[in-house]
Formats: sequence, C-alpha cells, structure tokens
Amino acid sequence: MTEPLFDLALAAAAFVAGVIGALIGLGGGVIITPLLVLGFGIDIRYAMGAALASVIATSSGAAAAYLRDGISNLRIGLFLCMATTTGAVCGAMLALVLDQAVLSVIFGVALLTTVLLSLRKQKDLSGAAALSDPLAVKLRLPGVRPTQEGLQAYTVHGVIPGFLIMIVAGILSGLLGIGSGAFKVVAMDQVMRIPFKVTTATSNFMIGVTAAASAGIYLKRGYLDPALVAPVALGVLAGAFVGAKLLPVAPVKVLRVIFLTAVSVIAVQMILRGFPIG
Amino acid sequence: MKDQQIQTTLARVMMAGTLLAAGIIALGLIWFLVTHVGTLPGDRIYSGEPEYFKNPVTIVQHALQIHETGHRRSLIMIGIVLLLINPIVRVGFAAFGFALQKDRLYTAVSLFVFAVLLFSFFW
Repeated sequence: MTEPLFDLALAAAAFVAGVIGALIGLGGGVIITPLLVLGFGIDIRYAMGAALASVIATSSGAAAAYLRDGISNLRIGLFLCMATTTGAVCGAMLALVLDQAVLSVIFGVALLTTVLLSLRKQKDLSGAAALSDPLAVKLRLPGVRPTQEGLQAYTVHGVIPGFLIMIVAGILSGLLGIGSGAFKVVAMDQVMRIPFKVTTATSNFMIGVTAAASAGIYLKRGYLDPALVAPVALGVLAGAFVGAKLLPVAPVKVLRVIFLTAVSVIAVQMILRGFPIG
Repeated sequence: MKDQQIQTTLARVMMAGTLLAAGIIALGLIWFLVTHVGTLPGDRIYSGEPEYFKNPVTIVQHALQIHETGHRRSLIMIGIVLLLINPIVRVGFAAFGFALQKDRLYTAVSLFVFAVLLFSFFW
C-alpha cells in the first residue's frame, strides 16, 4: 500500500479505535498498539510511540473538561503522579532493553488484565467510612465534589497501597506505551475508596502526565515516527471525541461484551507473537 | 488563587494546547501526504534514533532549519512536541498555583513531578 492510502487507512483505523475506546471505557493506547502491530505490520516500538502520543492527546482533552467542572482532585492527582511518573521513567528505560517478542507477551498479558479489570463488578466503596485515614488527612487528600445536592465531602483511604499500585501502573505505562487507566482507576476507587466520578476525572489528568514521563524517553530513542504519529493521534483524538458524543445513545452494554471479547482475542494473539511457531 | 480558579485556568491552557498541537500535526500531515504520493511507508522497520531527536529543543531547532528533505516531517514533530509538553506545562502551572496559595507541601509535590518530567525529556 502506498501513500497517501496507507496513512488514510491508519487514520481510519485509529478513529475506530478511538470511538470504541471511548464507548467501552478503555483508553486508545491498549487498542491502537495491537491494531498497528497485528493489522498493519508496524514495528511494536513505533506502535507504542504512536499510541502514547494518542493517549496524551485524548487525556489532555478529557482532563480539561473534568477540571473545568471541578470534579478532579488536583492534590490526589499530583500526589499519585509522583509514583506514576517515576514508574513510567523506569518502565520506558526497561522497554529500551527488552526484546520485541518479550514486549509483545507483556503487552498481551496487560491487555487481558485490563479486560478482566473492566469486567469486574464495580462496587462503589466511597462513603462507607465516616473518617479518612490519618495519612490521607495529613496529606490533605480528601476533597469535595459537586453533586445535585451541592458540594459533598468524601473520604480517602489506603494511601500507601494506592501509591504502590500507582508505581506499577506507571511502569506498565512506560513499558508498553499505554495510559494504564484501568490500573489507575482500580487503585483509586477500590483501594483508596474515592468516588467513581472523582476517580475517572483524576485518572484522566494523571494519564497525560504519566504518559509524558515516558514520552521524553520514547522521543529520544526515535519511537515517535512523525509519519505514523500524525494519522494515528489525530484519528484517535477525533474518534474519542465522537465516541464521547455517542456514549449517551449507544447500546453500551452490548458493545462492551462484543469489544471486550474481541480485545481478549487480540491480547492472546499478542502473547502468541512472542512464541514463534516451529 | 483558589483551587477552583487554578483548575479553570488550567483547563483552558490544556484545551488550547491540545487543539493547537492537533492543528499543527494536521497541517504537517497534509503537507507530508501531498508531497509523498506513491511512496512506500517506512514505518515497518525500526530505524533507530535520529540525532536531532535528542530533546525537544534540538527538534524545534532542526525543524526551523530549511532542509531539502525532512522538513515536512519536522512540522509534524513540532506539533508532537507541543502535545508532549502539554502535561509538563500542566504540572508547572499547578506548582505555580500552589505556590501562590502558600501551600508548601503541594508546591513541593508538583515540583517533584515537574522534575521527573524534565528528566525524561532532557537526560
């Protein structure tokens, strides 16, 4: 396939990935990388670079909207970003020395885990306790969020385990060029027991910052091929925008089952790439 | 500056930065495509690290020089760099906001994150 057809096909595929990602609540990164590798035969390092740039684009757009509405908790976000950015720098450096096949296997496993995490029954654990953990109070993490009955205070717990999971989320983000939003959300709503909406909004803020920490290293090593990043990032950005608009009217439950199954199959294929037949 | 004010201003900066970056990338892409009709895409094989990709400053310097080839890609690179520094600006701005609030703890937290990001881009 020659230019400009190849780039148009890339942009179209990225657009679809962006729409699907927004509809089923997965970031563009975990969908776009396998798509580029398996569907277009692109080197996984370039694919990760393009995915990471897309992740920054979509998260910056979404995070801006949430910040404006005052749902994000900037203190929680920045505090946990100390863990994710440090992890991401380590992960990105690790990615430089790992073999393509090994990266592919780790990617597949992380993708399967992401699917399982997003399939789990979501229990809203916020508001179960009257008081925040002392450490959370000391760090001034508890905040207020806008609700229909006005501003409502919420408590924060499990600061240390939450912080530790964020280091792992950061490493995965740098290692695989993904936003690792699914991992961040689990750490915040299940371990730190922060309300769902605050979690989603804050995680969007963090995803971009975390991705930027790996991006510097990817950039330097030439993982960001402009000819690939441009169609992919623009496609995903446009797709995510359209997906967010479709969200209220789309049959989200059915789509989730279909696409999460498809993503699982893709994950297994990524794992199999690490084990050449013969 | 109150928390809410920091957040609203930050939201504007982020949105503007993202749109500007996307616009430049789109321009660069169109330019790239109209001048590359019929060529084969070279994304399949990893070709290592170009010298000038060392850090954002060298990329922009390179892009501003006129080259026989490659300057179309460089326009896209400027857009990409703009996209990537968006989160850095975001964190730097938060540090500034917390400093205005005389919130020492969170000024330090923001500056730590800021330093890690700078390290990533300039090590």
